[in-house]
Amino acid sequence: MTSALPLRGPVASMWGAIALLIAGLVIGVFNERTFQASRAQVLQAQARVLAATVEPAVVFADAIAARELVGALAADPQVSAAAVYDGRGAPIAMLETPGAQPMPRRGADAVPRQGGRSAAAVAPVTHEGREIGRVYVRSAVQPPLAVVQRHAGVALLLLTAILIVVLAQAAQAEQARAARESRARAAELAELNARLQQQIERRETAEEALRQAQKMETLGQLTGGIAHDFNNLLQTVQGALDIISRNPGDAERVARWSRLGQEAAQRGARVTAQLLAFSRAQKLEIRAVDVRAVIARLRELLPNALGTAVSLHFEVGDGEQTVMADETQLELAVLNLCINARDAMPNGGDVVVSTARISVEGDPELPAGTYLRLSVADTGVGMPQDVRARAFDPFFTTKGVGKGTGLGLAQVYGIARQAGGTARLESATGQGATVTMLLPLAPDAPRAEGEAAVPTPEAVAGARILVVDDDDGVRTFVCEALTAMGYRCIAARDGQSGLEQLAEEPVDLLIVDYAMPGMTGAEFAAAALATRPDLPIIFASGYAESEALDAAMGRPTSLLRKPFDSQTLARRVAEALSAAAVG
Amino acid sequence: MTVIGRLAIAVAATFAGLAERAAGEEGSLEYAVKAAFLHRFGSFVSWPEGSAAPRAPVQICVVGRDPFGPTLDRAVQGQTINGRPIAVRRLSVISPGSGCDIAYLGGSPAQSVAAAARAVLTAPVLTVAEVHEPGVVIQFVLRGNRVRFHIDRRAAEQSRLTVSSKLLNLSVDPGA
Repeated sequence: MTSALPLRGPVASMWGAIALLIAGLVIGVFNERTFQASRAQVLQAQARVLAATVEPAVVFADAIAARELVGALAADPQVSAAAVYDGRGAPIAMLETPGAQPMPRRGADAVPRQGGRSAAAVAPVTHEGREIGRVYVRSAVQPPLAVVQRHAGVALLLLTAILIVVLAQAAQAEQARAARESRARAAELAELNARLQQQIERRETAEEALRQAQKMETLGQLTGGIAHDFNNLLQTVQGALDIISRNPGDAERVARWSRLGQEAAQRGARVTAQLLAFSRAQKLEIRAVDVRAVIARLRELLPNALGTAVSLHFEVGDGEQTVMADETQLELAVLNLCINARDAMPNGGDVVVSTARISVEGDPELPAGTYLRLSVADTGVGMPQDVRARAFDPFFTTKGVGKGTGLGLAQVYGIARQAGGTARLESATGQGATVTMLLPLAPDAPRAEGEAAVPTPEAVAGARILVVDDDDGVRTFVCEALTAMGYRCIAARDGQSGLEQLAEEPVDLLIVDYAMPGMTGAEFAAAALATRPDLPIIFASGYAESEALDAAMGRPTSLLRKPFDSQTLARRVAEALSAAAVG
Repeated sequence: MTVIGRLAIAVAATFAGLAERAAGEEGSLEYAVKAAFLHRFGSFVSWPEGSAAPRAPVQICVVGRDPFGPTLDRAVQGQTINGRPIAVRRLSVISPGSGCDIAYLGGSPAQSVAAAARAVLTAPVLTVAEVHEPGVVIQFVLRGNRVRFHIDRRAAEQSRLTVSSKLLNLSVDPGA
C-alpha cells in the first residue's frame, strides 16, 4: 500500500501527459488540414475569378489585357504566381515572384496541388461552353514563422496543460510525503501519549499506595499507645471479674465492679470500632458528619497516640457543627494534624484542638456563609516562610526518609476542598503552627444520635423474639437479657434451625447474627422474609456496614453493632417492635 | 492550297497569340483573325429584347466588299453566340429590314461604309468596319502586329446594344 501509492501518481500523470500530447497533435493536424483546405478554397476561388475575367482577353488573344489581369493578383500577398494558358497550352500571361519555384511552361503541366507549404489551383477559361484556356494560381510559400504562429496557440495550451499535470503530480507527491510525515508524527505522538498515560497510571497507583501507607502509618503510630491502653482496659475487666467471682455475695461490690468492668469494655469497644473503621474505609463517602462526635471519639484515641510529653486541650464551640465530609478522612486529618503537632514539639508542649462556628464574608477563596472552623494549634518549632509556602504540596515533607510520606497536610487540604471549604496554615519559626480547616456547615443538621439521650421505651410485653447466632455466649446473653426484659426468647444456633422454629411458632421479631457459617444472616433473613414479608429484623454484627447490609437486603435494615450492652439491646428491640406495630 | 492550309491552321490557332505572326506574314491571315473576332464579338453584346427569336440563328451579314471569302463560313462552323447558331449572309446593301444582327461593312459603290452605317444607325445591328464612320460600333485596328479593335460606345447606345464591360476593357484607342 505505501509502496504502491507513490507509484500510481506518476504513472497516471504520464498517461495524462501522453493523452494531452496526442490530443494536441490531433488538434494541430486537424487545424493544419482545415487551414490547407480553406487556403485551397480561396486559391480556387481566385483562379475561377481570374478565369472569368480573363475570358475576353483569351478569346481575342489580348496578351496585354491578360497580363494586366494577372498582374492585379500580385497585390495579393497570398499569391506568389499566376499564369494564363491558351487552348493549346501556351502561356499568354505569367506572373512570377523572383526566386520562387518556376512556373509550368505548358498549360498541361499546370495541375492543382494541395498541402505542403505552397498550394496551386487551376481553373478552365470557358467561352460559349467550351474550354479555351486555363488559369493557374499558386499560393505564396508560407514562411516557417507563419506555421509556428498558426499553431502557437494550441501548442501553448498543450504545454500549459502538460505543465499543470506535471505540477499537480509534484504537488501530489509533496502532499503524500507530508501525509506520511504527519502520520509518522501522529504515531510518535500517540506513542508518547501512551507512555505518558502509563506514567500517569503508575503515578496514580503509587499515590493510592502512598495514601494507604499514610493511613497505615497513622494507625501504626496509634497502635503503640492503643495497645498499652487496651492492656489497661483488659486489666480493669479482668480485675473486675476476679473481684466479682471472689465476692459473689457482696452485692455492693459486685455492682460497683461490674459497672467498672462494663465501662472498660465499652471504651475498648469504641477503640476497636475506631481502628476497624480506619482500616476498612477505602472509598470516600461524603455525608453529614457531626464534628463534635468526631472530636469526642478522638478524645479517646489521641492521649495515647500523642504520648505524655504533649498536653492536649479541646475547645469545642457551641451550636450545630455538622459538615458534609467523609467521616473517616476527617478523623484521619485531625489525627494527622495532632501527630504533626507532636512531631513539631520534641520537648513537649501544648496541642489545642478547637472548633467554632464562624461567619465568613469577603473571603477571596470562599463564598460568604457560616463555616465551621476546625483548627489544631501547637507550640512547637514552627515553620520558616519557604516551608510554609509548600506545606500543602503533596509529598512535601521535612521529615526524614521513612518517617513521613509528605501526604499529611496535602490530605488535610484535599479533604477541606472536598467538603467545599479550605485549609490554612499560620506559622512562624519558633512560634508554633496552627492549621485551620474552614468547612461549610451542612444545610440540614442530621438528627442527633446520642444513644443515652433516647429513653428506653416500654417493653412490648410477651413479644416473641427469635435469636439466631452461632456464638453460644452471645446467644445465651441475648436470650437471658430479653427474658429479663419480659420478652419470650426463641434461640436457634444456625439459619436452618432458625427457619424451622419460624415455621413452628409465631415470631414478632428476628435478631440475626450477620456473619454465620453455612447460611449467612442475609440469606436467612431473605428466606424468612419470603414467608413473613413484614417481619422486623435486627442484624447484629461487629463487621458489617449498614450500607452493605442495605445493599444485600435490598431495603433499609437495622444494624446492632457488637459489642452491645443490655440497655442498647432493650432500646433497639423496643424501637423495632413499636415501628412494626405502627407500620 | 497552301494558302487555304495556312488559313485553316490560323483559324485553329485563333485562341492563341496567333495574330502576332499571322498579321505580319500575310494579309489573308489578318482576315482569318478578323473573321474569328467577328462572331466572337456577339458573345459580349446584348441585343434589345424582342429583336430576334431566342433560338433563331444569329445573322452575320457581309455588306459590300467581302475580304473573308469562305474563311468566315469555316470560322463560324459549329460556333454559337450565347447558345444560338450562326448564319452568314452576303448583301450588297443593308437596311434596317435586312434582318442582320452583326454586319461587317465592307463598302461598295452601291453603298459606302458611311451610307451603310447611316442606314442602320438606330437599328439593333452590331456594325463592324475597317474605318471609322459615324454609326460604326466596332472598328478593327492594327496595333503592332496584332489585330485589335475600337468600340464606339455612343454608336452602340444609338443601336440599343449593350456591350459587356469585359469587351470594353479590350477596346483600344483608334488614333494611337
